[in-house]
Amino acid sequence: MNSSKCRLSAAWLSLMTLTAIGYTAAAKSPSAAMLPTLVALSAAAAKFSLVAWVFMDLRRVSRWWSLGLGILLALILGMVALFQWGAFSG
Amino acid sequence: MLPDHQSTKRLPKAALPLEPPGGVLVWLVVALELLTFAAGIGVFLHAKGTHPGEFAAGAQGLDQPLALANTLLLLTGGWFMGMAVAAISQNRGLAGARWLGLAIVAGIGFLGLKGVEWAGKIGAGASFGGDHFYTIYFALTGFHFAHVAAAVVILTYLRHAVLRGRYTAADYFDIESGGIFWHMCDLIWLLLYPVIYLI
Repeated sequence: MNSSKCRLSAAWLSLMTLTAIGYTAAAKSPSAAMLPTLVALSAAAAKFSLVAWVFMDLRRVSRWWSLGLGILLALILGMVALFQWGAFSG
Repeated sequence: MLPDHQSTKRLPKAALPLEPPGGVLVWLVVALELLTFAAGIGVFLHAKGTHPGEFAAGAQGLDQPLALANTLLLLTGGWFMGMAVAAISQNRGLAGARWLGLAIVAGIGFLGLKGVEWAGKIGAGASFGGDHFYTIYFALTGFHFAHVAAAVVILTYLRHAVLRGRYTAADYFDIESGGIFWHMCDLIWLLLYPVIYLI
């Protein structure tokens, strides 16, 4: 197997594992609990980054593209966390 | 465009090309779609805060294992798409067409499972416009469904072109662009899935 196949397959395995972790954390805890929410959002951020870096091949172009997408991801997940934090504090 | 997926291995970071895979235009689409879905997610979370009862009841009715299966299926489709681009970039058109076929099957599987999920909800009395939760749920998942359906059509067209020998290691720009559109569906779902189903 060549290196691009290995890289893509390793990313896919990581994506499956992260999905299982996020699902298990959320399924075993009550809705809106802090820890499973953090686990689910962290898993989502890691999966988003893996898809962009490996599947969409951002690793082979200027880092400005990764930075731009990373800022977009941070804004979206920051918004989600702020709404959830509001729910927690309420 | 670089000839294959390993060609930047020894390049210093400053020498990395500025043009993204698939071209700037498709990345503009990615950014705009992510912003559009971000607005939708914001609406969902705001409504969740203002109508907690409806959202708690709605979340109870969601089919978690089906959503998990759909997530795994879509991400597996992303892997197939990546393998297709890698194969075509190495002049292995038949292998590329085979991987594209698998990605198309994964996409159709995602659409089918989403249809099963919606049928279950509609059968249980949920509807678009029924309550806040299901109105936004159907809007967000329906809009994403439309994107995956469009990606399946694009991949089907590209697969036919690959089988006709249209793309080679020297020219597979359209395959990369189609792949970026496909992976954009992954990115959007990776944001929708935890917000709607997990948290």
